[in-house]
Formats: sequence, structure tokens, C-alpha cells
Amino acid sequence: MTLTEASDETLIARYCRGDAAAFELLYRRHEMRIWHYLKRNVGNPAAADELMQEVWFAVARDAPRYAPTARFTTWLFAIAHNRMIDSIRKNRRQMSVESVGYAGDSAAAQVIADPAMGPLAAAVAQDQSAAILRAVDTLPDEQRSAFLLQVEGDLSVEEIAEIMHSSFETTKSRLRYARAKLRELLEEYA
Amino acid sequence: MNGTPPDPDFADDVDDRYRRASALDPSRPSEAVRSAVLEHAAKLAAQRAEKNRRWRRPAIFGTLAAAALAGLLITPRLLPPREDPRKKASESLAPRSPAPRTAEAEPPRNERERAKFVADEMRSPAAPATAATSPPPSPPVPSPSPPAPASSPPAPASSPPAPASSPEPSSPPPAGSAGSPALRASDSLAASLAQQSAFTRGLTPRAAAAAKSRTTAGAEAQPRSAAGAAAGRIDAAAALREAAQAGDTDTLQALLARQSDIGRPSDIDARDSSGRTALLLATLHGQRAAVEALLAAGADPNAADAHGTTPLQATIAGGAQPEIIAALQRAGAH
Repeated sequence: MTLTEASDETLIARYCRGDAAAFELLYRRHEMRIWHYLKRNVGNPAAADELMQEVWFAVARDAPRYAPTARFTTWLFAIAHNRMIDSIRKNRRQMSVESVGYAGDSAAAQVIADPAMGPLAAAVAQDQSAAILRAVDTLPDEQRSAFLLQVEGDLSVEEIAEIMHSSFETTKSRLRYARAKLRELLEEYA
Repeated sequence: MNGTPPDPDFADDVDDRYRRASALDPSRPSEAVRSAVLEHAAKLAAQRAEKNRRWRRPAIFGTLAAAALAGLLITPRLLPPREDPRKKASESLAPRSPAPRTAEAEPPRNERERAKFVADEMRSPAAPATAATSPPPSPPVPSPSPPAPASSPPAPASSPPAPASSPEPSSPPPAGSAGSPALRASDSLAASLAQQSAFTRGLTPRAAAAAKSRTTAGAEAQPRSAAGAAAGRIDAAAALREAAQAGDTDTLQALLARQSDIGRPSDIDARDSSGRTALLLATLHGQRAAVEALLAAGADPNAADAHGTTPLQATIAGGAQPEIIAALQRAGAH
């Protein structure tokens, strides 16, 4: 089995034994998922960058503490979620609702369409993508975090509940409300 | 919103739309973050690799050492226990053992049977022959073949010739050759004493044979210690007293002859725990032949026991046989 075919758990174990290439492969596998999760939660690319570095530094430092009883993805998103919560609490005074909204708008405005599409289709796709990203930005924090953990981390309800320190039913409700809200907003945008 | 949470199973369209939009999002973490993360991770990896190398060798050696120590400690417990011959002999020596005994292993039940057994052992082909051919007494130091001096007469044909110029001992004698006479006498004596000791303690014939072989082996391996020799004398003296008390003149004569042959200090006047000599016991039990044999061998006719009873007084107390009294008086008893 080559390194690229190895599971996340195998790679982190190899990194613990001193294999730096295993860590680099892990980073590239999960880089964009963590990045999207952080950026959509904090709504600020610079803050997301800072958090991104903190999260992966923590992964590299705490790799020997990783217990293979849980999936690596769960462990990774738990670190990201905790860092993000700490950062939000620390910067809450500096962040206003307007600034968050502005950041969301700017992020949605950056969505670019697939070049293979025609001009009209590309414009529609860009508009729809921007709409759902804006809708995600407007979700309450807990609902947004739960929704992003599921769609970016492919985590189960149980795993999300464990990461967010909430009950299974509470987490399930948050996911349902988040999707209902998104559907509602998308209908408004449409 | 009606307050009822929607079923997440029907929300796949929302998830798909988000995923498509997220894939079109061009924002990425900065290259500086990526470089910093990977550089930091590589540094930690190098430290861990070095740490692993540093600990691997001591860990391997430690594991091997622990395994070896565990093997040394555990393996003897897993092996079947080896029977200690000394323990086995001491178990056999235990008096009144409740273990069932076969007819062959049945020990002599009384003094007369014990004494007879000793006499039979002495009449066995090996012991008398050895005793008869034993040379005059010599120190019981094993010497396979002392270096022959240049002026000494040639060695017998049955023994390998020793080179006159070589000071080292020659090769061991071949099978059939009995080694030096001194060694043969010492071995025979040790075996006999072990046999006698076994009987005085109720040892079975099989255990006696084991004791005999042990004693002989010990004589071959190293010079018998002074303590061992003293123990042999004590056992021989006890056998002598028992034979005298039982009136077993054959055994008595054999024991006296053995002591005379090897020229050791006579145990004829050795005493038991009550201070009684073999002569006193013989007179007390009216064993005339034994009394005469002991007196002829030089027993002290006036050796009294711890209470001051002399052989003459013991004779009177035992029935006053005139022949015994006469014999004692002839020997100087008073």
C-alpha cells in the first residue's frame, strides 16, 4: 500500500514515528475542508488563516495523543471547532454583526463559475452559489457549525454532538433547523 | 417556519447546493500558513525520529535482558523437579515410614536381621575380594596413577606404561583395571560404611545401594573429609554394638576384621548414648561368643557405662554365665 492509499489513521501513526511526508499528505487531504469550516464560521479570511495555522500546529504537536478509537476526521474537526470557539469568544467584542455580514457578502461575491459553462449558465451558477453561501453565513452559530461539520467533515450526528458537547437530539434539531432555514433563504433569493 | 424540524433526509438538495458552491469558492489559506504548518510538522517529525532512534536500541537490549531474566527465573519452575539424592536418602532414612514397602525393600525387622544383612554385604564378591587384595593402609587421597620415577620397576602389564620422563599422571586405567590399591580400599570402605549406616537407621536395600554409590562416587571425586570419616566410624561402631548385643558373631568378626584390615583406630570400645561399649552390651545380653570375640580383638574388659556398670557387673546382672565371667577375668576384668 502506497502512502497515498493509506488511511488517515495510518498516516498520523506514521507521522508520530517521524514521517513528515505522511503529515504533508494529511494536510493536503483536509486542508480545504478545514479552511472552509473555519472561514465560514469566523467570516474573515485573515482570522481563518490564523486559526488554520493554530489548528494544524495543534495536530502536529498532539499527534502522539491521538487515540485511534475515533476517526481522524472527528479528531481533526474537534480541534478546529474548539479553536474556532475560543477565537470567537476572544474576538466577540471586536466583531459586529455588520462586519460579519459584510465578510459573508464578500465571500459570496468571490464565487466564480466553472469556465466550461456558458456565460448564462455560469452567471446563474455563480448567483446560486453566492446565495447559498450567504444563507449559510446568516445561520445561527450553533446551526451553522453543526451544518458545516456535516457537509465539510462528513461527520455523523453522533460525532457532531460529541464535538459540540451537545446531546444527540439537540444536534439533530440544529441540523434540521439549519436546513430549513437554508431552504427558506434560498427560496427568497430565487 | 412552523416550528417542526424538517426531516434531514429530504435536505440533500441543500447539502449538494452547498457543496457545489463551496467547490467554486476560490478562497484558500495563504501560502505562508501552509509553509509554516508543514515546516513545523517536519521539525517535530525529525525530533520524533531522533527520539525513536535514541530509544530503540536500549529498548531492544532491555527487552532482551528482561526476556533472558524471565527465562532464567521461570524455566526451572517449568521443568520437572529433579529429585535430590540426598533428600531421597533422608526420606528413606526416616524411621517408621508409613509408605508401603515391597517384600524386596522390606528392611530387617530386628537387630539380628540387620547384622545379618551387614554380614551378607561383606560376603558379596566385590567387598571381600577388594578387602583381601587391599594393600597396607594408605592415605585415602585419590591418585589415579602417580608418576613413575625413572628408577622404579616397570609397571604391570595390565596398566598402561607411564613415560619415565613425563611428570604428569598417565591416562586413566582401562576398563577392568581397578585403579590404585589405595583407592580401591578407600572405595570399598566407604561403600561398606554407607551400607552399615543405612542398616543402623532402617535404610532399605535400595536406599542403601544409593548411599553406597554416593559414598563411592564421593571417594572417587575427592578425598573423604575428616567429618565423613568420623561419621563412618560412628556408624561402624553402632553396627559393632548391635552385632555384639545380638550375638551375631559372623557379623562381629567381619566388622572386626575389616577394621583390622584397613588399620584404622579400632572402634571396639566406642560407646552409645548411654556409655555402653559393644563388650558391655554382649555381656548384658549373655552373648558368650561375642564376648570372647571382642576380648580377643582387644576390647577393654573394664569399660563401664555412664552409670559405672562394668562388663563384669553386667554379666552378673544378666545371669552370671561362668564362661563369660571367666573370659572377662582372663582379660583382666575386675
